[in-house]
Amino acid sequence: MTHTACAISLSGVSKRFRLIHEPPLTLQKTVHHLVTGKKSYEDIWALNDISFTVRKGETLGIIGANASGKTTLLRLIAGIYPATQGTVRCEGRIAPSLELGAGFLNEFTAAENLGLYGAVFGLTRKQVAAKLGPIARFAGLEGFMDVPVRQFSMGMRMRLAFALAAEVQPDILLIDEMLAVGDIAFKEKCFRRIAELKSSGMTLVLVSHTMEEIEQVCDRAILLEKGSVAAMGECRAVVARYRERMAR
Amino acid sequence: MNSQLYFIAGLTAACYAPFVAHVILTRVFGRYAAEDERQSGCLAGCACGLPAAAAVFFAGRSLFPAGDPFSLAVYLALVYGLAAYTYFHFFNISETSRRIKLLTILSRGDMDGRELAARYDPWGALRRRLARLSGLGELTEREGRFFLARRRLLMCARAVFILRSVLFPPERTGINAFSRHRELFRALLVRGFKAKYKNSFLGIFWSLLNPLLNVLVFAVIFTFILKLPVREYPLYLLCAIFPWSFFNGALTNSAVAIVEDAHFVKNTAFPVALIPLAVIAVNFVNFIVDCSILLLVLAAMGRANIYWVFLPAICLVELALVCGLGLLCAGAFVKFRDVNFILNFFLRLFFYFCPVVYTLGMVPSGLRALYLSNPLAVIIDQFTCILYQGNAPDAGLLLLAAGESAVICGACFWLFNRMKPTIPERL
Repeated sequence: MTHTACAISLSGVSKRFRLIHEPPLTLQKTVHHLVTGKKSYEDIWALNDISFTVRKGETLGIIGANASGKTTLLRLIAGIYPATQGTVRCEGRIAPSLELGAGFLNEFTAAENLGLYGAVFGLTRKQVAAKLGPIARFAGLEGFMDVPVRQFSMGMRMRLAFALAAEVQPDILLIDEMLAVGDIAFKEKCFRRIAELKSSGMTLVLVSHTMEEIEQVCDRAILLEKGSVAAMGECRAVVARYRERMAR
Repeated sequence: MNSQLYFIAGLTAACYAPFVAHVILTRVFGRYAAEDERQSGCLAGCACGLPAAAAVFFAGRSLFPAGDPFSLAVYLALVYGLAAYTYFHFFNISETSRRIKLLTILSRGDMDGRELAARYDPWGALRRRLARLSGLGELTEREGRFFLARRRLLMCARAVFILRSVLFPPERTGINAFSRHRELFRALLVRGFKAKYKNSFLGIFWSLLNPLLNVLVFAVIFTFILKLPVREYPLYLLCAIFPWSFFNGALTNSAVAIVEDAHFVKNTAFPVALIPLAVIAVNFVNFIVDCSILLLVLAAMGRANIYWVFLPAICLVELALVCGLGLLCAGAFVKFRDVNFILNFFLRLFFYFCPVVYTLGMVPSGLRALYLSNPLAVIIDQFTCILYQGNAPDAGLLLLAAGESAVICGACFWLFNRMKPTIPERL
């Protein structure tokens, strides 16, 4: 394994979604549409022929307007969505921390939630138990671990989620808008941790609307526009391109 | 005739118990998976199979009361011992013979590695094997080169390897995916229990309350108002209600499970089937607890009988049926959001097509065959047959129900696998 080996490689990846009008779809409606011959959906291509590779230990930023396919791309990399066309190849353990904080179960305590999410990330009970202390310390939530998550603020949830994802020590970490809610001090802490993880060889894919974040953390960036790659390469240039397009 | 059949079936099952116990130990609990622990795993499996052999003994005692218990015990000990011995050597024999050879060489005096290798005579051992194989016609020799002559022995060996791979996951998958998902399944299971009984003083006994309430209502209606000609009617209801309430509860809960966990499914990659299966497992544990309480009550009433040993098998048949249907409903609900209404309607209707509030004996004989083609009806009927009437279950009917459940379960898993890839994006 050399340093330049690929952690993530996508070739010709496209994703089609079936957009259903007037959801939710029911059996009743389906039968009705079948009988009347009316079409209740249309197909849209959320991603179009995307190809790129991310080296091991590299940090890739993904930017683009709302609904340009950023989160869909992350989900494809994480293996949550199957690609309609093309292939996605990843090496190593992936920790997809997409909207993680929002997914915590309200009625359960922070420790219980960590147990469940730790298991999702492939940790054993013992490993989770051993990491509870460090996670609480990193998130600054010591003394809150036995409190139901329903009493947590959005910022607290997000901190807990990031602390877990960073503590799992995956080979590939996917972050979607996670640092958006944190205060400055926590953000700084996160950046330091990301730098640490990077130096230990972790690959990171970051989706963000904060251009400073992208420029500060990422080695390379991709600009998505309506599901296609509009620009790819050095951060500063891609960000400049994005600003230019937004201004128009 | 029936009882002899049962005895033979039970004995066969007991002989396979070491293998089954071994599989459970390695694949579910992740024990004895390392190369040097495999023999201990075999022995542990054989030890775990002992209760099964003991159960066959007690079953045999009551099936053939005239027989001599001592001979039966010796007979069973021999049969089980031989099965366990064979099983152990299935893993161990090649390993042991090599070790014995080493020990024999060392018994001639201590020596270093090179001397040991010289005496080990690998070329001699190889020659003898080759001679035997060509004698058997498995290989041929031409101009000092060896060729595979036929594949019979090789196929046998491959079959053994396949069987072993049931016990030990192939090494190339690295840390096996199953043990990782075992943790997740356990976490989901624990969450299921906590969610169900959080803040409830009675805990798991809450689950008893609902069926008991149903029993009370039905008992009042059908003894005071409709006056069904069933002796000890409330008792009959008690014996019939639990398999039904498990079926009903597990299907209703698992149908909505994936949609309720949408956040999970959309944001992490893992086998989605674990979510409904964990929900079913929670209901199954409830069912087992309820049944155990019922058995205690029946035993206290002096109604215990030997046929209770068949109850676990019947429960497993129902579990297979429920797993298949629950998974299918959970997958279908993701696509069609009215599945739960349809399911509730169907369940309410289905209740009256199962012999819960009436006995199978009350069904007109013309309809009997139709009734018995329904695996759940058979399961409930056999439950009451064992618990309420105290009779032996009908082996043919049970096998039919088991076969139907297996087919339904397999078909539903297949269908679910086809829906699986698009589940996250539909949520």
